[in-house]
Amino acid sequence: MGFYRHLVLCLSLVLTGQQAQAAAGQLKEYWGNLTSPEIELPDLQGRHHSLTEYRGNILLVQFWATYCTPCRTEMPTMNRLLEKMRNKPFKIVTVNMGESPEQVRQFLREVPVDFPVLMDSDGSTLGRWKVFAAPANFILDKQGKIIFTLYGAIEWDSDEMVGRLTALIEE
Amino acid sequence: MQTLTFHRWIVCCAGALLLATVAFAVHAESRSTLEINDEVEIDIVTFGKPAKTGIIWFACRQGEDAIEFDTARRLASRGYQIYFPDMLSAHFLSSLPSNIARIPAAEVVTVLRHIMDTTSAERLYLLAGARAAVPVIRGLADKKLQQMDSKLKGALLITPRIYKTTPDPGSEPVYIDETGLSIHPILVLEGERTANRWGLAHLTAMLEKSGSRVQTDLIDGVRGYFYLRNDQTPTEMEMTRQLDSLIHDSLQKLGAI
Repeated sequence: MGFYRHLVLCLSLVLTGQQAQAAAGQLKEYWGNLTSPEIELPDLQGRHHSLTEYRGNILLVQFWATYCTPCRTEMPTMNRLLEKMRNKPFKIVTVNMGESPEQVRQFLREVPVDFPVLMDSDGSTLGRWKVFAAPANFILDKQGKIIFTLYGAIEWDSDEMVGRLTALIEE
Repeated sequence: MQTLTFHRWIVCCAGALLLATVAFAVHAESRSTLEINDEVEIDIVTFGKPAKTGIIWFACRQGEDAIEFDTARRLASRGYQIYFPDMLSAHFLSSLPSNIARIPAAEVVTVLRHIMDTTSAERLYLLAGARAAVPVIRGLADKKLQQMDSKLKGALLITPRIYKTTPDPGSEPVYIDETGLSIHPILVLEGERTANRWGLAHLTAMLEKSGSRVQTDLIDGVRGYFYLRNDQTPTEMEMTRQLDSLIHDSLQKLGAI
């Protein structure tokens, strides 16, 4: 009985691990009903940003929070991605999920970033974008239409991701 | 003089015995087994003496080192009787939060009916956190259980996770099929530091579909399933220490929904 129980435990751990891997970390084609949602939000310095400013670029929009451990891990890879995509029409915009400016500033002192961090203080943009988990990533085409989504953290500067984003730029 | 000392000693011993008896009665822990069928037996651990208010706690983890048991002892001191059905061991499943969502609904309902039939409590509340909210939602959806002249007064869900899968960005969350089939009051507590707080309005609307009155509250400064985490912040540790107070206060609120 002990052996059987051990076997079942091991199998369930393996299966759970595989499910977790399958659930996160892959770009998914977006078939939802958000076509070209807008973002009109201030950054930490109070400067207003609108997604229309980014038209003509492939755009990564990420919703994140300081309490989200994977967000902390992947942000440096987003900095490196931006560096690798320098001189190409590619931008990153991130939206903090309703935290205080002080919480976000503290985080950014520890994890500096090279892209705008917008503040959705009342969560209204999150609601419109149907974000219920973090990090939530959206890839928008040059016309501002969502073409891919991705839940969870990945190595954004991997050769595979750089290749996929470059291909989108060249489409 | 010697007689006085002896009497004092006797009185002290009797006092200590009385205190120990009272403490044991308050924290009394008993175990029973419910046979579901030839292959499945579910152990039920009960804390506290018979009380007016009972709590049926579906927990992801069980055992002496589980925070749930520690909290149950403190709740027993406050006058509650707490039942822990061990749904996982019966199926040789480990204490992973994902496993408790795999328990068949019929077993959950059988356990609930058994406790409702045998308890002396006048009111019963269901309690669960994280993925363990799944069996609670399945239990509440049972029509026969809803038709019973029920002692069941509602459910308290602490940072519940009842999604079928983690919601994709840009899409509405999809909950387990039994969501929205309940009629009992439900109080949802969600961590202030979790993305799920932004889905509370959507979750409430779904849970209310068949008549449940649903209320939500945020717990300041904590992330989802804070009391189950291995990487607790000081705020989460403190809130875990106060979990019995949080549950007690929330049950008062739930009773008034």
